[in-house]
Amino acid sequence: MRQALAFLSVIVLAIHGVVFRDQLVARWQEHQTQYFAQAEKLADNPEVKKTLAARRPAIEQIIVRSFGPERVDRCTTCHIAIDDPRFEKADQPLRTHPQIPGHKFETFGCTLCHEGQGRGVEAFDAHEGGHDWPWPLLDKELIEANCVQCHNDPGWAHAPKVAAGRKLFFERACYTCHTISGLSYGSIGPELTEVGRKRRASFVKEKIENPRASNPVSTMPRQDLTPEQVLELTTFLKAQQGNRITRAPIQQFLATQAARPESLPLTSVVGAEMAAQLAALPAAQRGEAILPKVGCLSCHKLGDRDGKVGPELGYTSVQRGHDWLMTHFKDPKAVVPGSLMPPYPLPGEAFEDLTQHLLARPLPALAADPASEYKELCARCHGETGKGDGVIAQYLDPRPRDLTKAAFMRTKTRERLTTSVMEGVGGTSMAPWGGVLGQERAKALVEYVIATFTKGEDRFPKDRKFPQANPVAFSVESAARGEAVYLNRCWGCHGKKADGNGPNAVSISPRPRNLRNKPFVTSVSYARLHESIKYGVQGTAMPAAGYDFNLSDEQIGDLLNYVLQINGLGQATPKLAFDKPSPPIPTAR
Amino acid sequence: MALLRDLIDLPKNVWNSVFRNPLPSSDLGRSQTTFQNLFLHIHPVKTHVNTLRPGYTLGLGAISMSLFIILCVTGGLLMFYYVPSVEQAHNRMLDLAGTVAFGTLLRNMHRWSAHGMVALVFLHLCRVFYTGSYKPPREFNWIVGVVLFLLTLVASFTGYLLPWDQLAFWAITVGTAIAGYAPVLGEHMRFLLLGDRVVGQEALIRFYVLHVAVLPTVMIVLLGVHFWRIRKDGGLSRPEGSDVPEAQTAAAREGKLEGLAPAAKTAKVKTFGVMGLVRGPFTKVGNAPDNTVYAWPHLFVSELFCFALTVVAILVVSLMFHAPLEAPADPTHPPNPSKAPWYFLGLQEMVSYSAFWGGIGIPTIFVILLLLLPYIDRDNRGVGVWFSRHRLLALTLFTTLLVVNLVLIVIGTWFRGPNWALVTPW
Repeated sequence: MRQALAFLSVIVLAIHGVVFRDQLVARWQEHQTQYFAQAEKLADNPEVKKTLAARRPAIEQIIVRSFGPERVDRCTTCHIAIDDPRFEKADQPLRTHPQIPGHKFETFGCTLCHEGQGRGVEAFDAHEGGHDWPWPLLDKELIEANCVQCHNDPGWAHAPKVAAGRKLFFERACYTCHTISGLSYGSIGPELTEVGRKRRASFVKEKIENPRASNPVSTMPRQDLTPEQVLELTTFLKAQQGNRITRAPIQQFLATQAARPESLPLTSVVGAEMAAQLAALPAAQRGEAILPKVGCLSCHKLGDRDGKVGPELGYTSVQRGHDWLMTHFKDPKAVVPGSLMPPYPLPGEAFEDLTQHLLARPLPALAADPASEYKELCARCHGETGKGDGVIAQYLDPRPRDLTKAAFMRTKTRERLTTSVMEGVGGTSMAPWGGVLGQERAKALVEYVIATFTKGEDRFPKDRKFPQANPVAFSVESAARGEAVYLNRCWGCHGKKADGNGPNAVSISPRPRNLRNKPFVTSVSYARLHESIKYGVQGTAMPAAGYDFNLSDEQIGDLLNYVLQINGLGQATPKLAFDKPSPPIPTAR
Repeated sequence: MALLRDLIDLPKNVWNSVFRNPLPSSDLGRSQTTFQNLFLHIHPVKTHVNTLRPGYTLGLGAISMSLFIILCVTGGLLMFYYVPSVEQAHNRMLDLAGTVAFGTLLRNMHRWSAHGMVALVFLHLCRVFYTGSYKPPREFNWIVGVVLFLLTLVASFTGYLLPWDQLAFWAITVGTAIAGYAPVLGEHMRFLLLGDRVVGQEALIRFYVLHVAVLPTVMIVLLGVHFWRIRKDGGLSRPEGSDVPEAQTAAAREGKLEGLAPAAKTAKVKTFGVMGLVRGPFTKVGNAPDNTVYAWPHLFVSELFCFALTVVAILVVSLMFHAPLEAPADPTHPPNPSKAPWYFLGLQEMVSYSAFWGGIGIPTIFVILLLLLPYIDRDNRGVGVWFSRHRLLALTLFTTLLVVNLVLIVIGTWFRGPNWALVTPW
């Protein structure tokens, strides 16, 4: 034991040696000594030489009181030569800082522009501020973000990146989802009013480059941006720092208190200059001009631009009507309940212009053979190999049909499939293609798809008997009986809210129908709904409830009355059947 | 001449006036060294050889005490630089890292020692349980020990707030929210602790005073009681029958342990007098041969070894790992998830299932069970032996609860992500 103690004591002493060595010599002292020596060599005046020779390393600091909370910047402890013009070519940390007229180091300090952790005197502490510091040294190329904290009039000419980033913020439709106090009012994505203060620039940049890097379930579309554009957008967002320095708290407060407007004026989205030019044009041309400027093409495809998130717009004129388009602009979920598209914060006139343009646009040229038709019109959603995994499939709800699935494709009649192509599927992103293809080409396309992608033989169901109209007239009692059946048999997959998100839904592909999709429910015939419940839907997880659960035609009628009711389609007032108080959720999180 | 002699003798005289007897070479001297020194006399003059077996105590108590000493010293030094104000606290932390000599090291040592003490005190509690050392006559010392463990937790928790960074602010917000789940009194308790409805300046000053004045004082007093009771309860627990000569270890019989006379020799020789009147079956007075050795040097060397080991460990850890310091506390931007300190993450995990039962009910029941343990489990078999077969039920129950708590802490620490959703740490 005594030998062990003696041994340990030696170790204790040795460690103390390490500790003291670390403390006695600091890097900043070496930098300063080096500076004194070099400056002494450069000095021509013996007096100055003498003063420099007598100087000993000491911590230098600038205390900044004029801008926001007090800052203590000790950067000049190492960067001691920033105001010495003779060190322009020296290596960091002893290089001269360029002189910026009107910006004295003693007044402004360093971290106001460069960020970092001013109190640190070790390079890592000062530059990175430790691992959890939200404001590490700002990249030189992003520095404009901090210039505009004081120089905050919108036309300031020395921050071109911030100005370009602001333009991108509107062009790429960021404003439709994100709020920046005083600029935009989107509520789908997180608020960005103080994003530059809350997040590291590296995080913002990564988020723009790949929205799912930090949050794998993010619905933010990935944008096709050049590295310069990413930099501009990052600079603009890094500049969003709330009232960090100059904006008075009262202004900030008033900006948040200002009533949320119905829409943003076109001038603040496309800029005053362009808005003035637009006024002179006819409606359809106005629409053509603003369409690429308000963000449509950061998701949709039109001509050679493709945002790879939303459907193709080139065929709109033969697919959608005026009312559909106007409704869709104001509230996309009203026509496609699973749509990812935000309600557009533009004035009604702009919608009218866009609608006029989309309806007047000539159709793109299209080769008249099924293979190239599939490639042009279908592959973007259904995928090159028909698996329902096209480039935009992940953003669509419900997902595009997997055309390779024989159990589905081979059990539905050709007429039904052709109808889906011709008339589209209500409440989904499947648009009507009849106006583009016509009956014969649509039929040929269906044949082509089945022959090319779907395996197996046709197995059309036989001997199915189901009523063409509901055997039970709608009544509140019938819907209540239907609700009871629903709660017993259906909610596990279709969900307690009947929105297709039941506990079993996660592992089911294709996902269960959202029964609250009113446009879908109204577009499908009663007979088809009844058949789907009674005999199941082959190729999906929907079981033949008429047999498995022994439901009679009348019970299925009740069930469908219930579905009508929750969509507000029965005569009785719709009610949320499942809006019973749920058990309290633990609040501690 | 006389003056010269006095000058020559000066160092010796100073030494002799400070230390009342020379380095001992006899048993009498060894006894005197112990009981004539204020700091040593809390130790017994003679210690049972079982107490000195590293495999029995694992030195856990001594290491805990060493950590407490390190915490008092580094904490005292940190107090010179710290200001308990919401405007200054975090800046002082930054200054500590940048411009104070040994500042980072001090903070690292204090931080890691605090975490270490929570862990080591708990391991010490486990050791005492697994060796059945809480059984009569040591019941009360177990209670003092449990109270000291709880005080360690509170001391660590109050210290957690002081850096006033995001980590501190939100950990304390979460931790004190747990107190708020107590029925009737919960919100009042929380208010009393924070001095406000939210964590702010009032909470900071309260936590500071508790951390640097109240808790250390109470702990030092209770530590005194804890050590004093060890002696009064007859030393550390040991296996039944280990006091009789047959039980002397081979090493002792061969005379390798200094101060432990072979049984035949001590049988008729009185080696020490009555130092105090002690109740209970263990402290031997008189001629009976026992299995004890002199505290000087055996016990003191062991304790010093534990202390040196602790210092080395803490220094190495502090040189290698920096204490975390996040951005200044910002009440408007909670991190997601906000987590309590690791030793309360088991609680937070339980709170995520049931606020009252997880945060208040189950912990209260556990603490009461811990306190009452020596009065519930009074079977005196299996004392002084690790994992005695006679205590199978008690061991199984305790181990189960221990493992459950550890699993909850592991889940809370590594498997909980934003919104307290389950995530994988890799």
